[in-house]
Amino acid sequence: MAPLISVNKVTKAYGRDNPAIQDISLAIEKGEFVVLFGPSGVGKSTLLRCLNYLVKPTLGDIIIEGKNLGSLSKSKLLRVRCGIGMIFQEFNLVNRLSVLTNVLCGKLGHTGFFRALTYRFSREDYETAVKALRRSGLDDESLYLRRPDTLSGGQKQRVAIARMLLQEPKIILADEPIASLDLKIQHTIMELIANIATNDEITVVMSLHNIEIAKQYASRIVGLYKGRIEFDGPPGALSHDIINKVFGLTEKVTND
Amino acid sequence: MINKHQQMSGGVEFLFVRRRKRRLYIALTILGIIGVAFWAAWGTGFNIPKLISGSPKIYNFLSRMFPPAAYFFPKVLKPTIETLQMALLGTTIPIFFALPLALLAAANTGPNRLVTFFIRILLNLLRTVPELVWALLLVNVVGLGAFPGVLALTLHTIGGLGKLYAEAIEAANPGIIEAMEAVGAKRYKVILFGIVPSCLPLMISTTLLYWEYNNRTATILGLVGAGGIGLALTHAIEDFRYHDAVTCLVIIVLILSIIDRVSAKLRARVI
Repeated sequence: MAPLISVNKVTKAYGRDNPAIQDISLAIEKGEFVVLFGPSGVGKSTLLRCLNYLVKPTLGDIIIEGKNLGSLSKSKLLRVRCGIGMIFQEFNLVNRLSVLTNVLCGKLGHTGFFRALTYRFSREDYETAVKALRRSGLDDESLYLRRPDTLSGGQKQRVAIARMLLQEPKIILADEPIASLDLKIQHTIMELIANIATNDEITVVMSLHNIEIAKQYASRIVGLYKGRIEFDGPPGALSHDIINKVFGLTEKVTND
Repeated sequence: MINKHQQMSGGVEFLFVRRRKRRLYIALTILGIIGVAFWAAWGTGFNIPKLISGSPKIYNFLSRMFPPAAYFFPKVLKPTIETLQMALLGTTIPIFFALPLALLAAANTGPNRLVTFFIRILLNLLRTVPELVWALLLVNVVGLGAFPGVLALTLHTIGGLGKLYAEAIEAANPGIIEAMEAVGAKRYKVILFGIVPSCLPLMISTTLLYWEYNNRTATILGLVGAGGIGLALTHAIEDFRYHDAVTCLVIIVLILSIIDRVSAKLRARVI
């Protein structure tokens, strides 16, 4: 059977600079928890954004469930994106909308023109949104009508996770989801994502730069180095030498 | 030891070089500004002795103006209201044109660079032609009165608001747009749920600022026959009714300062 996500020789270059990622090939099976690992600026975010075509690869193909994203029409691509949830380091919530409306944005791929225009969602959508918020660990209903910028970092990420849950995703893309959070809450949020993924049989692709956390939750680690794959395997196979190389520890000292 | 000391003093020398250079630049800049001012004074016939020798006439002039004519107050009531209406209409009509144009002109929402480029040129044209010039042109087209005034304000304000709206849209957090695109939302939904709520306060504030500004402009538009209190003022001056003219000025100053305060209060509330 074909893998859920196929990355075929993908290169992405911004302008005339050196490509952010180069000639990347990956096959991700259903149910995997893949962590893209490496220091910042190594192309993790770019690769992640190629997977839902927020960033269009310069070369190569992304194939999801047999659909080559590059050959899809705009509306078909949006359909595919509906099934791919995404969370971010900075949460990317709309501060001028209530927590609840932010969560309801997860349904935007399916809402009709008139509903969107009048900012009105159906009763079922509201019920799903509240369920999703509870599932993300936000039980306090007094928070639902508040503005997200009045919440703590952990609460904001929970709202973003609830928004993603509304998409009923098959795949979760997570871009450094805990990098802006306090140490205390980092594990809680990782735990939450991992539980959701296991329960709903969702495939996760997550970028991280914390190796300890990566090892703890990932079923597979992909180490990137200078825009290329340096390591690809289970967490147990990740040696110190590779970690040092991926982080360019020895080189960094001489370069600076 | 001596060697080491020399090295050290040589080590900071570049800092002093930099400081000397900066002082030179500052001095040159100041000289440049003074030079430009003198050039402009020469070109405009700026003449202080003339101002001093003319000052007795100021007293003469003022005595012909004061006190303001009380009987004239009720007579300018209607033109005053007309001016306020001109400003209101000249600010509200443009909103409906400026918003779609801004969405086309902003780099992050426009369909492509060509459209963005041409819409920007259009907005710049509308904005750089002064309202008085628009009014002069339009008085010839639709005749005298407040109507050409409203049209003049509208054209200029579409250009101004369009540009400021577009800047507000471009300042929207790209992360929010990305998140909306990632859920599979169509472009108009990204605009409705991502961009509009984020930009709305800034847009309301700019609109109020333009309303304030349009009230000021609406008073002058009368000078070219485009209605309102400006027209009453122009007639009063043309007929040498200086007491009546001052009445108009008092009303203008009063109304404009009230509007400034109202607008400032409202703007403080939305941000």
